[in-house]
Amino acid sequence: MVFLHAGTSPIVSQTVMSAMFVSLGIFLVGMGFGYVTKNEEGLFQHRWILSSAVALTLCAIFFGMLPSLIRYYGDTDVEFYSALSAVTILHAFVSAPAIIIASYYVFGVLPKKDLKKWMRLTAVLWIASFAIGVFLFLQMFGLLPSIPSMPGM
Amino acid sequence: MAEQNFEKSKNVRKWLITASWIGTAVVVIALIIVLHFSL
Repeated sequence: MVFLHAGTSPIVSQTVMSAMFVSLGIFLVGMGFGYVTKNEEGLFQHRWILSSAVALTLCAIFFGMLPSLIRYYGDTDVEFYSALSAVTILHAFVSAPAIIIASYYVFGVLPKKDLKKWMRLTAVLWIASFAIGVFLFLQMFGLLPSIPSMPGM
Repeated sequence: MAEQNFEKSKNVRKWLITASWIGTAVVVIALIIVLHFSL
């Protein structure tokens, strides 16, 4: 069986990636509801759709991404200064605030002022996380065009 | 009264979520350190 850099089987990686694309779809629908909504009913839809995206994402994180992260950095001869490691750390740093803020929203803890600003900030963090995640996935499978001056890419 | 109780339960929720995330971070970092030195 072929394993990737983090010792995670490609089947798990691909399943996580598929789950995250579903999450992206739910996220876009939920965000759309938030954008066009003008009444309580719309906000209710917005809240529950995005809560399901957060739940799906949390499953992917705890069953796929965190075990990979632990296996990757738990390895004694981890290539810490490689491009893969850099993108992994970037993904973790952009995504951690995104998922943490989102889980506050899911449990009904919302900022008292500048609610729209906070919602937009969270949306930007989520979209950035999705984009970096796709990049990381392609990099893991060696599907990015290689740059000769960057070893490990 | 109802308003006060709502605020209280919101605060409890806020701290539960914070504690869960800090707990997760501690467990992940501990696992990485333990695996790093034991493997």
